[in-house]
Formats: sequence, C-alpha cells, structure tokens
Amino acid sequence: MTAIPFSLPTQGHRATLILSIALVILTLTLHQPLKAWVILMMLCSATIRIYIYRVGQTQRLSSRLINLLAILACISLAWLSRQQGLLEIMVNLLITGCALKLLSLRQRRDFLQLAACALFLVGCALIFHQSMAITLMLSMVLLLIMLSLQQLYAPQLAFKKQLSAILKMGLQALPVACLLFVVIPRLPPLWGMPAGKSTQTGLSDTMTPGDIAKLTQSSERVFTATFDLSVPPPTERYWRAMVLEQFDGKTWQLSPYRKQQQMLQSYGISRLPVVSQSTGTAYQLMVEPSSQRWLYSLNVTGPGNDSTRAKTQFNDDFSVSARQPVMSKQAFALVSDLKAPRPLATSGIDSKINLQLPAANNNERTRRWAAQLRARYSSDDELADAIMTYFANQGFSYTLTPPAMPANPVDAFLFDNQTGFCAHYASAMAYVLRLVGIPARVVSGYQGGEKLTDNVVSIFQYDAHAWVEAAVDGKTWQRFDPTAMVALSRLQYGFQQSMADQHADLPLFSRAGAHDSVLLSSMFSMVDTINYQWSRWVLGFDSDQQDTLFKNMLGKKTTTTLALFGLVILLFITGLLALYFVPRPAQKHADEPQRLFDSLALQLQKLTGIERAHLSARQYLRSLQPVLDKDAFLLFAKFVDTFETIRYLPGKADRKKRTLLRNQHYALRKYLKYRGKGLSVSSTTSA
Amino acid sequence: MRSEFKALVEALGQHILGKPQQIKLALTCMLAQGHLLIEDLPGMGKTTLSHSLAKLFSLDYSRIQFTSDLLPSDMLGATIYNAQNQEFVFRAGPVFNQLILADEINRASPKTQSALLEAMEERQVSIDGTTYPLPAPFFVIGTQNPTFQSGTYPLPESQLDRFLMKISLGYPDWDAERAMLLGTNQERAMPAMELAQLTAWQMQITNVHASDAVINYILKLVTMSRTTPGFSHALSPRASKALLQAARAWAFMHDRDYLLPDDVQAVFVAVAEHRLRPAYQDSNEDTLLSQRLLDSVDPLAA
Repeated sequence: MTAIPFSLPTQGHRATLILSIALVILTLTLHQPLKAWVILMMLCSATIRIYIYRVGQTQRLSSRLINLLAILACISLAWLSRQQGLLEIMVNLLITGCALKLLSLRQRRDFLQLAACALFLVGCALIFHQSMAITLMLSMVLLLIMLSLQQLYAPQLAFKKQLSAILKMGLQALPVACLLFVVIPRLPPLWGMPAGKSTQTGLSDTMTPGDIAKLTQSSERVFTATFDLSVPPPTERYWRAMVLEQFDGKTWQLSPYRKQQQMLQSYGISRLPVVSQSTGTAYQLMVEPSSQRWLYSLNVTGPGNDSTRAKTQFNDDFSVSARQPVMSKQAFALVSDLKAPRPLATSGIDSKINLQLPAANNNERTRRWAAQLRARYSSDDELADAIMTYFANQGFSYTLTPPAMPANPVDAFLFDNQTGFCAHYASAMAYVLRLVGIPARVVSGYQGGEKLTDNVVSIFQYDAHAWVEAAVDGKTWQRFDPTAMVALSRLQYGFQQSMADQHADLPLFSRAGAHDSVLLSSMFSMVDTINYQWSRWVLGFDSDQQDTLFKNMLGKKTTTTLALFGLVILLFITGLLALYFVPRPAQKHADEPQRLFDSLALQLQKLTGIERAHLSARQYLRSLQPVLDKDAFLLFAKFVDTFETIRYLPGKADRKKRTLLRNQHYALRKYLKYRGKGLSVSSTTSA
Repeated sequence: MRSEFKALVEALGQHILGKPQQIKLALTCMLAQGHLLIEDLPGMGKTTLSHSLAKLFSLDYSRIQFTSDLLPSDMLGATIYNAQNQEFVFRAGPVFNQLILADEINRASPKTQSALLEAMEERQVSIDGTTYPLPAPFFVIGTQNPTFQSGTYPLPESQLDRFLMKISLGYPDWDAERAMLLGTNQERAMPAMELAQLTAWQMQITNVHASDAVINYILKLVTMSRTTPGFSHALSPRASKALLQAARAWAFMHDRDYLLPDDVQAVFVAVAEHRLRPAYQDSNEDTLLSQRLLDSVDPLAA
C-alpha cells in the first residue's frame, strides 16, 4: 500500500484538535437518537486525535482497518434501521462517518469535509432539541468549528484576532439570517419524524396504579399555558388529557369504542363543542414534544383560532387531541368554558361504556362493600359523598411509594393498606361507583401547575394527576377528586408544597427540591421565563404568525405586494452584501510624487495596455521599453529617475527636485497627448 | 553592477556554469555576513560552489560531512590530555575555520545540528567552561538534501531562521551542461581576493541608505505574512532584519548607496522562503509562499 502523504501537520495541529473537541461536544449534545457504540466510537477517535496532537503520529492506521470498521458499522446500522426511523439511522451514520474520518484525517480536503459534516450535524441536532440551553450549546459548537477553520487557514494569527474575525463575520451574517428567518416560508418537513421516543415519559394511555408514582419524580416541562386574562385558581386547573373508561380490575385504559370513534373522526371534520369566545377563558398552550397526540384542556374546550381548528380534534369525551403527534414544540390556541356542564351523550352510549365492569372475579370485598352502600343510600348523590367521606375518615393517607398490590388491587387499597396516590383513589372510587350503578370514569391529566406570571402557568410532569368523573344525576358528568380528601394541600398549593410536608427524598437541584431555597426557585423561575419567551417568539414563529406579520406589514396579500416585498428583501440583502464585500478604494493620502506617478502610470496603461500591478517604478519602465517610442521612453525614464531620487535617496527632497518632477510629468503628459501616439513604430506596425 | 563584483561573478561562473543569479545571491549573503543554506539534490554543485567561494576570498576552509553519528565534539573539538607536558590541551575541531561547509546538515542528529547553530549565532564555542572565539569572518554554508529524502532530520524552524538565505541551484541548462562536459572553461585561474577587501565591503554596506518608503515596504511584506491566511509560521523580526541587510548588500553590489524596492524584491525569495511554513500543503498550489507575498504588496505605495 502506498502511503498518501500528509498535507496536514499531525502533531500540534490545533485545527484538528479543536474540530475533534467540537465533534465530541456535538455528539454528546445529540446523544438522544444515537446508539451507545456510535458515541463510544466518536469518543475513541477523538481520544486518538488528542494523543496524536500531544505525541505525534507514531503509527499510521491502515485504511484497511478503517474500511473494515466502516463496513461493520454500516451493516449494524442497516440492521437497526428495521426498528428505528430513517432519520435517526442517518444521524447515526453521519456520526459514525465523522468518527472514522477523524481517524483517517490526512489532507485539507478531508478536513473541509469533516467541518462541513459537523456544520450539518449542528442542523440535525436542532431537529431533536430546540430549547434555549441546547441552542446556546450548539452556538458554541458552531463557534468551535469556525475557530478550527480559522486555525486551518491562518494558524499564525493570534487567538484574539481569529476570534474577532469570526465574530465580525458572524455579525455580518446576523442581519441576513434574521431577515431570512422571518421571511422564508415555513415548509413542512421533508422527512417523517421518528415516532415514539425510546424512553417515553409522560402519561400513558393505560393506568395501572403505580405508573404515576414514577412520573411524579420527573421535573420535565409538559406545557406552558398563557391565558389572555388571568390564570384561574388552582382548584379550577384540572387539565384533562385522557379519559380512561375501560377497566379490567387492575388497569384503566381508553375504551375501544372511543378509540374507534376518534380514528373515524380523524378522517373527517370533528364536531366542535360550542364555546363562546366572549364568556370562555382563552389561552394558548405551548406543548413540549411528547410524540403523542393528546392535548391538555380545561373542562369544555373549543378551538381558539382557525389554525388550531385545523390541526386539532375535539372528542366526544371532551378531550382534545392533535391530528399529528406532537414531535416538536407547538402552539395551540384554545377556549374553555370553565362552568359549562358536560352532558352525557343522548344515545346512552356514555352510560353503557361507563357502567362496564371487569369480567374477572376479583376484588370480592369491594363488591360486598358496594352492595352495602347501595342498600344504605338510595340517592346517588349521597352515595358518592359517602365514598368521599369514607376516604376522609378511615385514616387513608397519601404516599408516593405505596406497597405493591398485585392480586386484588382495589380490595388491598380500600381495606388493607389504605395508602396510595391519586391513581389508587381515582381507580377505587370509579370502580365502586360503577358497582353501584353510577356511570363513572377516570380522567388522567395534570393538576395545578406553577404560575410564572399573572397569566402564564407552566405544568411539569410531577403535576400529573388522576381524578373521577361520574354522572351522579344521570345527565351530566361531575368531577370528583378523592385524592383531595386526604391531601388537600396538594390541590391548593400544588405538588411542591405537599411534598415539603412529606420531606420526600428529592435531590437538591431538582425543580421539586428547589422550592426550599428562595434563590434556587427564583433562578428556576427566571430560566423558565426566558425559556418561555424563547419558545413563544422564536420557536413558536410558525406560518400563521408569519402570515399575520405579513398582513400587518403589507395590508392585503396580493401577488403584486408579495412580489414587491420579495424584491425589497432581495435588494436589502444584496445591498448588505455589497456593503460588506465590494472593495472600496483605499483612502488616498499618497504624497505628490506618488500621485504624479500614478497619473502617468494610468495614462501609460491606457496607451499601452500594460498595467503596473505590483511592479516597482524601474520594473515598470523596463516592461514599457519595447512598446514606447524612443522619446516617450526617455521622458518616462527621466521621470522615474527623479522619482527615485526623491523617494529613495538620502536627504530631504528639496523644492528644486519636486519642480523638476512636476515638469517632467507635464512634459510626458503633453508628449503623449499632442505629439504622436507615443508608441514605437515596431509595435504599431505589428498591431 | 560594480565591476569588481562582475569579475567575481564571472570567475565563479566558470565553476558553476549557468547559475549567475544563485552566485550573486551567494555573494550577497557573504557581504551581508550571513550564513547560507543550499538545498538541492546530490550532485548539483553545492560543494563546488562553497569550495569556490572559499578559494575566492582566500578563507580558511574546512568541510564537515554530517552523518547521523557525528558528535558535537567531532566538530567543535575536545580537551585532550597531553602525556608529555602533563596538561590538558584544547584541540580545536574543524569548526575553527573562516568558512565551514556543513555538508548534508540534515543528516546529523539534532544534538549536533544545534551545536553548530549555536556556534553560528554566538560566533564562539564553549567547551569545558572555556569560551573560544571563532575566527572572523565566520561563514557557514550548510547544504541539505530536500527533507523528504529518507534518513534525514529536518532542521527545526528556529534553526532555519539562523540562515540568512536559502538557495537551490537546480539542474543546469543544455548549454551550460554541455560546456561543463567539454571542460572548456576550467583552465582559467581564479582572481584571488584580499580578505581585507571583503571586510571593507562589509563595513560599507551598513552605509547604504534605506528610505522610509523602503522600510515601509519591508514592514508591509512582513506584516502581510502575519495577517493573511495560508501561513502557519509568519516572518519574525529577525527575518525583517535579515531582509534589510541582504537588500543593502544587493544594492551595494549594484553600485548604489541607497535602497530601492527592487533590491528587497531581488533577495526576498531567498531570505523569506525557508522561514515560512504553509498552513497546509496542497499539490495544486505551486507558487512559492514568498512570491505570493510579493504579489500582494505594492512596492510603490509608501
């Protein structure tokens, strides 16, 4: 194998070092869709590069080995592509390629390819993460890549100079980038987004008491709601996400009938609940990506504007879902009527579904207890109250770490352990209500949330909650929250406060733990506010906002105004680029001899077509010798002689010499202008 | 050009055929009291040139063939015990001569290289605590094979910087080589120069006037290498000093007592090229780095 010579230095080549570091940071930032072995590979090749930087290339890696690695990586990625989305596999492939290229970096060409790949990967990373922290991180990576290019091309410059050059170019690019961000049409994505995260957090569409305890520990944000007016009180903030109507004795899940209905609806236009825009509470949801379709709404909810109407679906059980899974931060405008009753469907289908009982023959004691209750209370209202008071009086307690209740969960909860969290209470109550013949269901969603300002509230995963809806009067759904009977503080002051009482073992820096310290909590809320503004104004800038902006600026949208607008934008960008790149004539503060020489050179260039470029006076004279006629040449030679005397000889240039120079200049000008053409005969005849 | 120098160049030209430009540069280098590095393939006349220069100025001459096992003491000399007189005497090595030909300098180990380069810079040698001054004038003509040849230790940048100029001879043209083969020119005798004459010239060179315009030109060239992309090593202040010195010698040789930008241009490639390093090597860029600098600075703009 003949070795390709290195055209890049190896040891101490800072450009390569910086690029490797940038790639490592990028890989770690992008870790989510990456395979562990891909990350490992990048780390290894970066380590090798750092070693080479310190010690030098002691042994060249054979390209056979690298090719073998590449083939193996390709095969395994192709195999994995059967389970994972194409996009994720492509990102994996790109990182693998970069890692291998980093190993075999030899020439400037390789380096440029690698830098271009890294820039592309920064773009890819923005597909997966858009939060402000990550954006800042990626900007740093971008800076590092630029720095490495600077190091490649101008390594002799001081670090400060390199940095200032990058910053200058960045500032030049900024106005163009901002303008394009606002103006470029928002196109739908070209590829399908990966469906389903590998480690999914959030609610699930089944509820086996025990699931939600894990949720509570997570302080990931679920969504932020911005109310047009003020935020309703916490007791009103029951954010409904899913209605679980199918119970098998252990697990609550979506009823198959509803699933079918929703599927049918998703093909057509969904029926809209009537919510008046004037009396309703209008708010905007900024939903974090969840890979799920369900949305979060209060009581009876309708769409707040046309674009939301187009991308959402309003279901019969008063839940709201998006037509597409929420893969990136998205805004939804909704209007809710907090006081409106939720009537049962007239067809009776609601009560049919919600009286369904598990076929399995378990929870014996609960069934007996339900029969006793039924016998004691004839009124459904009183019966429901009796269940609620039962929870309050029988020494039930709230805990996040209940014992496992595998066999007869409701029995075990109601009569043996009497401790649990919202899912246990909701499940037990809904089951008992069904046993006594009252339609009941479990609603899961979020409760409360953290108020950022007077009209903004953020909801985190630990706000997850489950409660009961029952048709006690047989006509409308009413909300019962049995958890409130044992942990009232959780509802009134939110999850944070109630946990403070319990002193659960939350880590100090978790959001939940932060509420002990004023400094930490104010810091968290500041970060939240910044993040909120970022997602509201930057990430939330979608095609609708763009449309309204254009409407405000242009008035009516006609072809002419749009064309004119486009033209103005183009002209503006062209103007900016011209300002940056069109060379401006250097400030002329040349002295007199220089000016005289320049004017003569210009005249001679027009005459002979020979440019002075970077020739010295003498060299220019010599280059003109074959084309000028004898007199003109002699005149110019004299001029050059005096010019050199003034310029380069010791002693001050006195007035006499200057006058001489001026005279010679004048003589040659005059000669060229009036007496003949100044060109030698031989060149004129040949021309 | 001064008639004396014309004669010198002609005389040398009888030994090195068809290379007047290189000969002029070599003479300039000696006038400027700088050391000369000749880089070329074996057999191009490197040794002949340095031998002729020594003869021309009737300098004490010694040739040190550098090999990978050459030790510093082989070159500098050593203190030896004299059994008869019962005392230690210093036996000077070949470096104690007015003109040293350090042949194939990049074959020696870095240790030996740096010993020579120290002598070049300080013009003295310290052995066993005693400092011995080197004779004056002291010239080193180093020759080296191109660095990509096997078994070589390329000189580090800091040591290359100590050579005032680097030239390469290259293949002779048809006529020159033909004349060499026929041996027509070889018989003529060399005009012997007085050493005093050389030192007198060297003194006179410092009197060559450098106007602000020329100083600015040199500064612009040097700054250009420090601020434009493409260089991993820029020109040092030592390089700008060397450039001025060499340009003065060149102007003096051409019978002028003032500098023109042309003088700077004439010596620039020889003085600057070996001090520059490209940021990356590309096979498609053939222009010399120093030539690129020359092309990007206007010699007239003051």
